[in-house]
Amino acid sequence: MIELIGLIVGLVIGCFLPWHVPSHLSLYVATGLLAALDSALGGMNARIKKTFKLSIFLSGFFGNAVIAVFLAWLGDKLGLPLYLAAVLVFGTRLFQNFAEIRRELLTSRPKGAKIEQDIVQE
Amino acid sequence: MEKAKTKKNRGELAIGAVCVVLGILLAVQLRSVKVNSAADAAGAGRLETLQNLYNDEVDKSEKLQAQLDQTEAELQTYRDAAASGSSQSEALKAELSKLQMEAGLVDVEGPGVMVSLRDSTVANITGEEADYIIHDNDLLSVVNELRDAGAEAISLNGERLLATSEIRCAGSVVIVNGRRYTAPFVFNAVGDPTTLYNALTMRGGVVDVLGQWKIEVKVTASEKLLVPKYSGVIEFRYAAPATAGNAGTEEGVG
Repeated sequence: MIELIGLIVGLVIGCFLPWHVPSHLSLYVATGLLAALDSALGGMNARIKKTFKLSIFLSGFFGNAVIAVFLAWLGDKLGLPLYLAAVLVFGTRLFQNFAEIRRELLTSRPKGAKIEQDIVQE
Repeated sequence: MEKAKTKKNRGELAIGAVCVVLGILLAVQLRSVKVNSAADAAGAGRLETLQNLYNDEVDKSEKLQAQLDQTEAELQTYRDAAASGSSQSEALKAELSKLQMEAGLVDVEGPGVMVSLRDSTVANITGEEADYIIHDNDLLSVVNELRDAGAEAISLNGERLLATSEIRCAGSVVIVNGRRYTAPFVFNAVGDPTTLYNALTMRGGVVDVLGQWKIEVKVTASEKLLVPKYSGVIEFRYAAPATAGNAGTEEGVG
């Protein structure tokens, strides 16, 4: 829940900010954004599984974003679209995290509900 | 228990904060992409607008040219009519045609040389593509050499070169008298054919230097060459004949 609220608050703030990203930096921001998005989903996943650790979450969030941006920059310098590596990895992990969250939410709750239901019936 | 709870709260707070940051970034990026693509579209639209404006101007200039030709023809008839009277106006007419000749307002013909320049066709081995194509300074050095050798009238691709004519690279074209020309460039110069020919083809001269880049320069001496008249309008907006009283002001300005 807190993730959704935070995201909405951020979006609203972002809409009213006066500055915008110049076109040549757009790629970096987009790559970093993808890394951060993956970390956020990963944190959510860990919270649901109750394995959440603040230090790991924060270091992952900033570290991944920085490495992704660095890869994009390096690729720019080398003439090789290295940012695709970041896009591929973080894109895949995004789906993985989402799949795990989904499984966790969908499998645990109905089971519990069913057990309770069974008890009531007895 | 208490400690575990604060830890959990801190974790929630951190996720919230991170999500806020994420949201801000996302919104800013989305807006930027929108703005940037709009700017690109505006650029393309501007190009089209400019192209249309340019076409309109070309049409207008063609119409004005036709008008000018007609007016000049009329002027000629009036001059002839006026000159048929006294000997004084006869002398004026002679003076007028001499001045027209000097100003480059009549077609002239006579012996001279024809110089044609064509971009180099050899493979690029030095890496600098610009070395192999003709630039404004190449054309200017040819003009300078021709004038130095005593050319009396010069035209470049049919464009008469006057004292006010410019030769300037503008992207892929060269602008002469405000009109655009591309390679091959052909100079017609009226003057002493031998002098002109030798001046251009001397050792270390213009043809020699351009030939190092394999730019094709062909110089042909000819017995009869036509140099067309200047077809534009010469307008003096700032210059006026100096009066005797102002003669000394030049030092003060310099």
